[in-house]
Amino acid sequence: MRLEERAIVFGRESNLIGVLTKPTAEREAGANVAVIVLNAGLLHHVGPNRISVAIARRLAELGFPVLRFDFSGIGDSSPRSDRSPFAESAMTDVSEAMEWLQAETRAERFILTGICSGADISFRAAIADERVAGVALMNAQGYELDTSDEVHADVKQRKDLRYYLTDALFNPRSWKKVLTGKSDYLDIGRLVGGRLRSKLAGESLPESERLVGELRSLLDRGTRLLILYSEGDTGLDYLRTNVGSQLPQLQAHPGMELDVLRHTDHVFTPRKTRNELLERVIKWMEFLDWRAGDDSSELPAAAEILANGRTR
Amino acid sequence: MDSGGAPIEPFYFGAEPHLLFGCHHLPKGESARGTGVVLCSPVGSEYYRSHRTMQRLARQLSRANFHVLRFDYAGCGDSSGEPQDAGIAQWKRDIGNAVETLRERSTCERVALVGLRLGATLALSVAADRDDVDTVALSDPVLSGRDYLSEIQALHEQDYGSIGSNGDGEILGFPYAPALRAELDGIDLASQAAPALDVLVIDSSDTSSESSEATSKALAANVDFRNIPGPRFWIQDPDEAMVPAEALRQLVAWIRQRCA
Repeated sequence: MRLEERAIVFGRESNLIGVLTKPTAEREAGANVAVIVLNAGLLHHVGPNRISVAIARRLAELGFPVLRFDFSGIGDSSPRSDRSPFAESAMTDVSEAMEWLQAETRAERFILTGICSGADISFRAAIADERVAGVALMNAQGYELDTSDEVHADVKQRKDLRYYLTDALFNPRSWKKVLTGKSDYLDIGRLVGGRLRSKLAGESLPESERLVGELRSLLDRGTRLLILYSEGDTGLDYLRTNVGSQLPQLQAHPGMELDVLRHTDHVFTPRKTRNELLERVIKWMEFLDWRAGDDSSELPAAAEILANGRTR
Repeated sequence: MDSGGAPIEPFYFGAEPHLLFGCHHLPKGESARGTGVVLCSPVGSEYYRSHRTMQRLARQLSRANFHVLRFDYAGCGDSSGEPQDAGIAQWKRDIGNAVETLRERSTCERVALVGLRLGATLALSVAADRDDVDTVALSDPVLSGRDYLSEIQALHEQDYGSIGSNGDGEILGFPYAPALRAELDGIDLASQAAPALDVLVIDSSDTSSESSEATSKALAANVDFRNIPGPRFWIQDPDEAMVPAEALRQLVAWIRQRCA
């Protein structure tokens, strides 16, 4: 079957714009599963280095319908009329994407994936909605939509603040300003700059309990987790800080995989590593095979990676 | 309110193997202008970094009652194919296709082109060959393909020189095959004849170099050259880059003035 893509407008406010890539192969197992690729930060649904397009087309070849779309106020999608903060509207957007796919395809369950903030929102959406059967998180930064300054401070102190805008993404106030047009884009930088200074002055207080609890409840529910990091990514520091000691236990669960990709950057710019990333996701999806119950898998030595902060 | 509420219609146009993704921004007011505007993006890593600015520009033009079409070239963005299968000649055909598509969708008789970086260079070339385009706004056009290649190659070395190999001519995550390099190498606007067009050239560097100013002013019969210092968003980290508000304001005003 030939690749077929369709430009779509959806959502209760008809403000969400995306592209549906139709499956190019028949699929028995997992026929009721669709994939949704979420925005990485402020980048539109094509993704950095066109990665979302590559993911969509590759997974369509395996028989999955894939939707890539823009959150309200990002990329091609207009803001919502209620001007709700990003942390709220993004969650509503994901629900509406699932509803649209449910109506348009045979999908009843969903895989969510995204880089950076797209990973964080995938995680949040999985917790909120049992239709999410699995999440592939790439360089997740905080697993939070509204993280306290203290939690971040610990990570920030370790690392330069290259991805500081992630915080702005999770700060409803700054988003509201951007999305209502009351500030131009310049202001978000100033606003975030102010937040960062206060953060750096804050003291470390890791809030790992909640995160570990959420990870565990997802796994117990049967939701599959693939957690991927680029070597040296700040998000890995966050995970190590907050989950590190609990990780071996989480790792023992067959529903969780964690891996670190080498020789790449935050958005997988080198093409070779984008292909590696894709193959890693595909391997994860194929072995899941969407049968109920557990199955045995070889788990990567993630605990060691986390402890050392690097692969061999 | 900033979104303006004007509808955006995403759609695919053209034919396989060059199905192109477009977003048609409908004019906000009831009396649409008789001239539509097609936006011509840069390519490679500059494409995704500048999407936000192009989207803002489209929205502003739609608020000024223009029909606007943003689209992705073959092998770029949401369009079909892979970047290595396309090149300058194809991308110019894509612009022509976009102009015709917008005319059909809008009943506009004429179309203005706005281009950024390599998109500006392509837009100028397409406009020179068409009867239905006589207004062109160029932002930081690639004047020399050779300089452009060395510039992005240097950025690649700086950021990724130590990561992996560059076997297939990859620059900043995108393939630059020998055929594309040869096409780029052939771009030299300084030695090109000036078409009978109305052209705005925006140079966003802090201070325009004498040579780029001279070349820019000779690009067409009637050139309005403006040095408007602003962010070089097409190479910056997209989460940190700013939209060039002043350049967009002047660009929209210039097009409004020319297109009823």
